[in-house]
Amino acid sequence: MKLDCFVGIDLGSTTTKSIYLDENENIIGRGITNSRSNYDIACQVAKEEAEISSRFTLLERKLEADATLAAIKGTLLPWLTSKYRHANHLTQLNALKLECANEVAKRDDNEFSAVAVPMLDDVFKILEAESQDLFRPNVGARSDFFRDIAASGFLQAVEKLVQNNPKLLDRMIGIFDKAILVVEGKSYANAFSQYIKYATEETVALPQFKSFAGQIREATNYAANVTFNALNTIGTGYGRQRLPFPKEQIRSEILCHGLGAHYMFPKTTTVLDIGGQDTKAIQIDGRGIVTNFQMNDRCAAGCGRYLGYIADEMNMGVHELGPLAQKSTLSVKINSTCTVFAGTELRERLSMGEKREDILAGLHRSMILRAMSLLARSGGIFDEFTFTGGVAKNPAAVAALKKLVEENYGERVLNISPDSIFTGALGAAIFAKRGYLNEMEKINLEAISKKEQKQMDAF
Amino acid sequence: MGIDEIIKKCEHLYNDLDFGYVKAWKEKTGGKAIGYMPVYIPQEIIHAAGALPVGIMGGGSNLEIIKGDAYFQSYICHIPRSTIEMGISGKLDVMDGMIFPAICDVIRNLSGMWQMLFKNKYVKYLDLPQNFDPEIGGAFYRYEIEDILSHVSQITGKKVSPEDLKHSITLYNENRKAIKSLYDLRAEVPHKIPTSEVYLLLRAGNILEVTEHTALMAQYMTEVKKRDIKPQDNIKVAINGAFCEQPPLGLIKALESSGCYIVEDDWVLGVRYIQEPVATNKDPISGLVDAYLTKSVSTASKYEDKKEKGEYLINSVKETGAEGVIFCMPSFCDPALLERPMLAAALTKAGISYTSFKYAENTGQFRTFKEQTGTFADSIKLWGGV
Repeated sequence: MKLDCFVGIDLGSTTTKSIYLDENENIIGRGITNSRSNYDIACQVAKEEAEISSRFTLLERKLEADATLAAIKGTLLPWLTSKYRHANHLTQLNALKLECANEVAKRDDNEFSAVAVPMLDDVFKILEAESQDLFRPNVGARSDFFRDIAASGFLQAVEKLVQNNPKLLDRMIGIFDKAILVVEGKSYANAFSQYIKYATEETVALPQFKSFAGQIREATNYAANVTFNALNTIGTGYGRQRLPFPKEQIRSEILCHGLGAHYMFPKTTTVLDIGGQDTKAIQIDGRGIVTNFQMNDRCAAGCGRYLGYIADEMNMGVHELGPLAQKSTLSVKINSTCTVFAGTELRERLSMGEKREDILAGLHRSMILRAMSLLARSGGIFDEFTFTGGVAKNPAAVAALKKLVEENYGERVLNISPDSIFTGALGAAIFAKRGYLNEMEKINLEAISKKEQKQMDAF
Repeated sequence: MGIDEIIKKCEHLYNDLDFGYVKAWKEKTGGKAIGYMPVYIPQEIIHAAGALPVGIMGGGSNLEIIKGDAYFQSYICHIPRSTIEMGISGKLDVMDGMIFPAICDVIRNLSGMWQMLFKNKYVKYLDLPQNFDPEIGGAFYRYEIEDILSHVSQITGKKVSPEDLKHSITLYNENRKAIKSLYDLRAEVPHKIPTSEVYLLLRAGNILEVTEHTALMAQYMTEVKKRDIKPQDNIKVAINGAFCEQPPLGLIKALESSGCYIVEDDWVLGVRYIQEPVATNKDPISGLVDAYLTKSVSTASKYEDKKEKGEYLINSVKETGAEGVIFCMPSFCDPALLERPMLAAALTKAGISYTSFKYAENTGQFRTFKEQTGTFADSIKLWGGV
C-alpha cells in the first residue's frame, strides 16, 4: 500500500522534530531525536522516527478495524511498542559494543586491551540484561534518547567493575565517549520490518496474546509494508539552512510556530515559544499568519538551555526541575540576568541555606519574566494564548506564566498541547501541504493555458 | 526614635513603590503631589504652591518589568523602563503631575511618552539651562520656574505669594544644611556613619515633606554621635556617576563591606544640588535662578564651558580626604559614561587612583563588584595607589 503524506522537520538546537501529516491534515507520525553535532543525521533520524510512529498509527488503525483486536488494543499496543523499542535498543547496544571494541583496538595498548576487552563484555552483558526491564509497558524512562540511557547504564556498570581505579574509569569513559559519537552518527531506525517482527513474535509468545497470533501478525505485517510517499517536505528551525533542501522548502521557524499553534488551537492570537536557545513572542491572525513577533536578541538566558545549565549545576535531570520547583512555598527572587551568574547566585543561595525548591521557583519565575518582556514588545497577550516549545512541558514554568499573565493582562485562555514540542514541525508540514497544493494548481493552470493556447492556435 | 527605628522608617519609604506616605499625606492635607525625575528640580516652587514634591528614582531592584521593556530599545538604561512600568501599572496614579528635568535624551523622550500616555495629567519637561549667563540662561530659567509655578498653582488652587516662596526656600535651606552637616560628619567619622544609612536617609527626603525630613535628619545626627564604633583599616573613597539611575542598596552595602568608607558620593544628587543657601533677601525667584547659575554642583548633565573638567571632583576628593575614586555608573548612562574618560584623565593628572564598574538598578550579583573594590582598597592600603 502507498500512502501520500506531507513532512515537516524542525531542526532545533537541542532536539530535531519531524511530523508526518496525511492528506486530511491529520498528524499520523511524530519523530524526535537529539540534534547531535551532525544535523543531517539528526534530520534523517527524526524523519525515520516519524515514519515508525506513522506505521504504529496505521497499525493502531488496523487493530481498531478488527473487532477482536480492538478489544485488546489497550494492552496489546503498549507491548508491541515497547518490544519494538527494545529491539531497536538492542541493535544500537550491539553497534555500541562493536565501536567500543574498535576504540580499544585503536589504542594499541595490550595491557589496556587485556583489561578492557573482557570488561566491555561484562558491561554489555549487564546493559543487555538491564534493558529487559527498561522496555516494558508503563515503564517511564528518564530519557527517550539512546545516548542518555546508554551513558548512565555504562557509567554505572563500569564504576562497579573498575573497583576504585579512577585512571581506568577515565579511560573506559573515554572509550564510550568516542564510540557513542559513531553510533549516534548512524541511523538504526530504518529496519522497521525486522524490529516489528521481533516485537510481534515476543508479544504473541505472551500467554494473553497467544490465541490472536495470526491476526496480530497480519496487522503488523500490514504496517511494515506500507510505503510512504512524501509529496512535499518543509524544513524549519535553528539549523534549517543545513537541511539538504532547496530554499523553497525552507521556512523560518517563527512562521512555522505561528501556523503550527494555529492548527493546534485555531483561536490562538498570541504564541509564546520557549525553545533551547531562543524565546519567541508571536502574534498571529485568524489564518495562522504572523502579524508581529519579537525574539530574544542579545542573550539566550531564560531559554531552555538555561534550565539545562541549572539542572547540571544542581546535579539533576532537566525534567526533574519543574516538579521540584512546584514544591516551593516561598519564591526567592533571582536577579542575575546572565545564566552563568544565575548559577553563581544559585550556589551562593544554596550555601546560605535556602531551599532548592524555593531557588528553583525563583529561577523559573525570572525565566518567564524575560518572556513577559518579549510578549509586551510584540504587542501584548491576547486571547487565546498558546505556549509552545520544550519549556511548555515544564510545570513550574507554566505555573509562573499563568500567574504573571493573569496578574498583568487579566484572564486569558492558555493552551498547551502535549505535542507542544512539535509545533514548529507541524507548521512546517502544513506549509508543505500548502506549497504542494499551490504547485499543483500552478501546473493545472499551466496545463489549461497550454490547452487554450493550442485551441487558439488551431482556431 | 533610635537609629534602628529611623532607618527602618526610611527603608520602608524606600521600598514602598505604592507611595503609601504620599497617599496618606494627600488625604491628611488635601494637597496634591508632583513627581519628579532625577537629577534636580527646584522643589521650593512645588512646596510653595502647596504640593508635595516626590522624587521618582525608578523602580529599584524589587520591581518586575512586565510591559516597560516594550517602550525602549535594549541598549538603554534601566530607570525609564521601571518608571514607565510604574506609570502604566498605576503606581504613579497618586501623582498629580510629573516633571522631567533635562538630564539626557532618554528621560526627555520619557516625558514625551508621559504626555501621550497620561493625557489628563500635568507633564512638564524642565529644560534646565546649559547657558549660565544671567541674561540668557538666567532669563530662560526664570521663565521655566514661573511656568511650573503657575501650572502647579492651578492644580492646587493656591495662589503663591513671594512670602510663601521665601518661606519654602527657608525650609529647603534648612534641609540642605542638615544634609550638608551629615555629609561633613560622615567624611570625618565614616566608621560611625555607614553610607547605607546615609543613603536611605537621602532617599527618604525624596518622599517626606521637607520639615519632617529635616527633623528626621537632626534626630539621626543626635543619635549617631552617641555611637561607639572603632574605625577599621578601610580606605576612604568618593563615588561618582550614580546621579540618575540609583544603585541597589545591596550594592552600596557590598562596597562598604569590601573595605571602603564612602566619604563622598553623587547619588540622590538633587537634594545636594544647590550647595549654599538660596538667598531670601531679594525676589525669591531670582534667588532660585541665581542659586542654579552660581551655586550648583558640577555634574555630567551640566555643560560648563568655563570650568575645567574634573576640577570639582578633585576638590571634593581633597576636601573629604578620599584616597581614591570609584566610578560607579549605570550601564548605558550616556552623561555619566561620556564624562568618565575626561574625569579619569583629570584624576590621573592629579595623581588620584580610581576604579570603575557599571551597574543597573536591578543588578542582583554584587560579588564581582566587591572583588573589584576590595582589590582597589587593598592596593591603596598596600602601595598607596593602583
